[in-house]
Amino acid sequence: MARNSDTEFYQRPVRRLILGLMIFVLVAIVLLWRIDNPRAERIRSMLVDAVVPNVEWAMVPVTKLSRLVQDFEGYTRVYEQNQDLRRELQQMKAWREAALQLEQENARLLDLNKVRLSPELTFVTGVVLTDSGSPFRRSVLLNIGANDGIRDGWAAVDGLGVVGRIAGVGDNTARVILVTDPVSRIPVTIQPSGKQAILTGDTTAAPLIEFLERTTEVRPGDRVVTSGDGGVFPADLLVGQMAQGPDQRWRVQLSADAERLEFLRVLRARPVPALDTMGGLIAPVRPPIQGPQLPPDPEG
Amino acid sequence: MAPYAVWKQRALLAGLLSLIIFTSLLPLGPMFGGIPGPDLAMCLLFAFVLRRPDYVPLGLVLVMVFAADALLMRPLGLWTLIMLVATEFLRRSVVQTEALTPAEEFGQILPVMLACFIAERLILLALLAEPPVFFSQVIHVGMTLVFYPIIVLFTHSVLGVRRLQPGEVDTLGGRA
Repeated sequence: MARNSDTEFYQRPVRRLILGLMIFVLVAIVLLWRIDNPRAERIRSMLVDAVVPNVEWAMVPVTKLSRLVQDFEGYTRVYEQNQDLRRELQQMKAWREAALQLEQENARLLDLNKVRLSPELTFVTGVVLTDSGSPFRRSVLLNIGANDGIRDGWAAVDGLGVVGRIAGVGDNTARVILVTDPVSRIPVTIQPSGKQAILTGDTTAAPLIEFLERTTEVRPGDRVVTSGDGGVFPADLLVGQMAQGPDQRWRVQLSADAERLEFLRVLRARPVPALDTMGGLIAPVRPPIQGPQLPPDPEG
Repeated sequence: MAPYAVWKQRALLAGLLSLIIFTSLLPLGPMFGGIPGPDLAMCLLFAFVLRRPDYVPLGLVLVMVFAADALLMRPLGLWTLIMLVATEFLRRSVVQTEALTPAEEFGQILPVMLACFIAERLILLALLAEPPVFFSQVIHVGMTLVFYPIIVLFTHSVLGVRRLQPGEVDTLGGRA
C-alpha cells in the first residue's frame, strides 16, 4: 500500500511533465504546418506513403465488396435501366456518326494546315487507393508517386473530364486535390461565348463558377474547358457543363464521375521554367579572334 | 481486474479508432450523400474517458489522433492538440465515486464538444488558415452530438466499458 502511494506521488508530476511536453510539441507542429507548409505536407506524404500501401490489401476487398453491394441494389431497377440504356444507345449511335464525320473533316483540315499536334500530352495512369476521409476535404490518393515521375501540380483526368490536380507526392503515392475541394481554384473558359471564369470547389458535387462577367451570354449546358491561364493546367481539357442551381448561382456539372473514381490519368505537363536568377545580360556572340595571337602576359 | 484486462481494453480502443480511420479512407465517395458525418473517434474517446480514464492513456490519444490528422488531410497536429486537452480536462472532472445519469453526462459533454469545435475554428482563423465552411461544420457538430449517445450505448453494452463500482479498485496503480 505504501509503495502504491509512493508511485502515485512520483507519477503525478511526471505525467504532468509528459502532457506539457506533448502539448508543446503539438503546438510546434501546428505552427510548422502553418509557417512552412510545404515541409509539413512532405512529412504528411511520408506518413501516408508509409501507411497506406501497407493496408491496401485490406482496402481493396472491402471496396470491391461494397461496390458489389451498390451494384446489386442497382439490379432491382434493371428493367428501367435497360430501357434507358437502349434509348441512350440510340442517341449515341447518332452522335458516333457525327463524331466520325467530324474526325475525318478535322483530319483533312489539319493536313491542309500542316499542323503538328503537341506530343507532350502523355499520361500516367494510376489506381485510386483512398478517399480524403474528412467531411470538409475532397481528395483521393493514387498508387503512383515520385518513383513513377509524378510531380506536383500536374492535372488528373478520368476518361472524360478534369478531376483535379496533384498536390503532395510521396515515393509511391500521390494526392489529387479534386476540383470539388474547397481549396481548388481553376481558370476555365466557357465555350461558345469564350467567357473566362474561375472554377471554385465547395465540397458539393457541382463546383461554383466565380468571377464571371455578363452572365447573360452564358446558357445552362454550355461546355466548360480549362483555359490554361497561369500555366497550371494544359488548355482545352473538358471540365463539364454549365448549370444553374436553385439559388441562381452558376455551377458546373462535372463530366468526370467525381463521386466514384477508380482510375485516373495524370497528364505529364511541360515543366514551367523557374525564375531562380536575376538573369544576365544577353550579349552578342563574339566572333573568333583574327590576326596574330596576343603575347603572353609577362606577369602571369 | 488484472492489468491484462486494461491493456485489452486499450488495444480495443486503438483498434476501433484505426477502424474508423480505415473506413473513412475507403474510396467510396463521400458518405451520407455528401453531408458531413459525425466525428465518431471523438465520441469514442470521450465515452471511454468518462467511464474508465485508465483505458485512455495520453500516448494512445496522441498517436491515434495524430495518425488521423495526417491521413485525413486535416491541419497537422491541431485536432490532436485539442483532443489531448479535452480528454485531459474530462479526465480531471471525473468523480469516480458519483454515479452519472445519461442526462448529466450529456450536459457535461456538450460544452466540451462545442468548445473543441469553436477552438479549432478560432485557431484556424487566428493562423489565417481557411476554416471549414460554416454551414457544413454546424451539421458536423450536430451529427456528432446526435451520435454520442449511440456510441455510449455501444461502449457500455457491447464493449462493457463501465464505471468502477464503489468496491472495485482501479488497476495499474494510480493511473486513473
